Amino acid sequence: MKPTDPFVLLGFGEGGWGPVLLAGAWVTLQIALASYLLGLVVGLLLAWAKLRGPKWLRRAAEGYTTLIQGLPDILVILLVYYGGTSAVRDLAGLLVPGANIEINAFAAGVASLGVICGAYATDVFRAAFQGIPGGQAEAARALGMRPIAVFLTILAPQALRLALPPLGNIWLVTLKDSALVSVVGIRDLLGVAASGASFSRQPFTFYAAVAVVYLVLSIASGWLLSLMEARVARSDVRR
Amino acid sequence: MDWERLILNLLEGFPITVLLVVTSAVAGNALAVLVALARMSERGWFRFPAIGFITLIRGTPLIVQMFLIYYGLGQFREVRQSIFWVVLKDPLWCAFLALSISTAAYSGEVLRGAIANVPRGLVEAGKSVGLGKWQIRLTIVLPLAIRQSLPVLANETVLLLKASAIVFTITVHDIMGEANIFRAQTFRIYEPLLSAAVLYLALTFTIRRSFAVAETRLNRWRLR
Repeated sequence: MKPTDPFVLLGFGEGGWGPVLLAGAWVTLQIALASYLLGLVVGLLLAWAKLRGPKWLRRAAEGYTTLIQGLPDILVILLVYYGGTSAVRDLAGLLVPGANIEINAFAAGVASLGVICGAYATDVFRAAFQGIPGGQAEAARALGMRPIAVFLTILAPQALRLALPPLGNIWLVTLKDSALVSVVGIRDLLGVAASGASFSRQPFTFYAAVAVVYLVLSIASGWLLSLMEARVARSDVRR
Repeated sequence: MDWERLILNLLEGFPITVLLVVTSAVAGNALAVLVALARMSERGWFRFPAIGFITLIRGTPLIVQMFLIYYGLGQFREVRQSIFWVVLKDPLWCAFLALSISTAAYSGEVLRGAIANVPRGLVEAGKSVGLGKWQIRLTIVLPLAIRQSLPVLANETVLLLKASAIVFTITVHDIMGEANIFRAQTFRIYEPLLSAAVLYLALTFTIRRSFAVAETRLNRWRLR
């Protein structure tokens, strides 16, 4: 007779899935954070490409964001996860005949989520940099500041203030999107909960626990983001 | 590579995706009006449940909500023996329920913003000609709010289409489901997934076009 009491099932005692679920939650956090950071880097580069890049690069960036934003996230994840890993493997086989490289599932999952996150972050960064009056950079250059200093001390801090609220939203979306990598077999929170659900035949107990963890993570993130927004808004002189 | 079979399979999934998106958009947005009104109510027993509902749905992944409905509810014997079981044991119905509930929460927040932005003078004008509270809501506030939020609702509908692709995880054979079965059976990756991508892009384009047409039609009065 398998236990059905949720406190035993989700607990840390004998027959309890507590430690496994905790490990899964840790994987979820790692995947979400890593893909978010990857998405921010991709977004910054593509925003630069859209604003300052040569025409072909601008077109390419435009195509990338339109394509990714028009496709289901799970489709992009399967394409990058299965397609990307087989492409990398074929490429390695071409360069070094007979080579058989194993691609880390975690890395493939992060890459696929980062591709999605990056497409949304691109338009946020672009709008933020466009929202800064052109005179700001001109004034800084007139004072003899080097381009890198203009970017770091004049443009970036102001863009951050404009970009922070939408970037916060993208984090919340990425956190929830990370649950989709369980579909390709990654042992994240939802992945281990699915094992627990089929092993114990108590799916509601396990999925409800998963929902509570995501809810807590979302509410905590929302609270942290509002603190950060308040902190960044202090420098807003226009108010 | 059996293209004929792939195309036939995907065309079988196509109407399922369209059916799910259209029905969930209609049911979800109708519910969204109620969610928005409850969320803005001055009475706590309307407002607080609405806030709780919105927080719960927007704070958890849709795939988890769908698993809870389809796999989770069957855990209880009371559910299995109730009349709702006819609906809840069917994956397509569960997908429809999960997508509608999700749309209600997300669109509800969009409508709330639009309702709050309806000029107060219009409501006061309605009062001054003797309209009741619900007459003002139904004939002045909601039509204006819905018209105002059409561009955002177009985005929400595209998001709904994209979200609907996860219903294959509860064994619904939509476009994504057919593509994924084909991928698993033939070990082909690019052909099924990229063909599905073409269908999804076509649907995204169709949604955007229809909302653009609706928007120009509803805003015709501005030209006069």
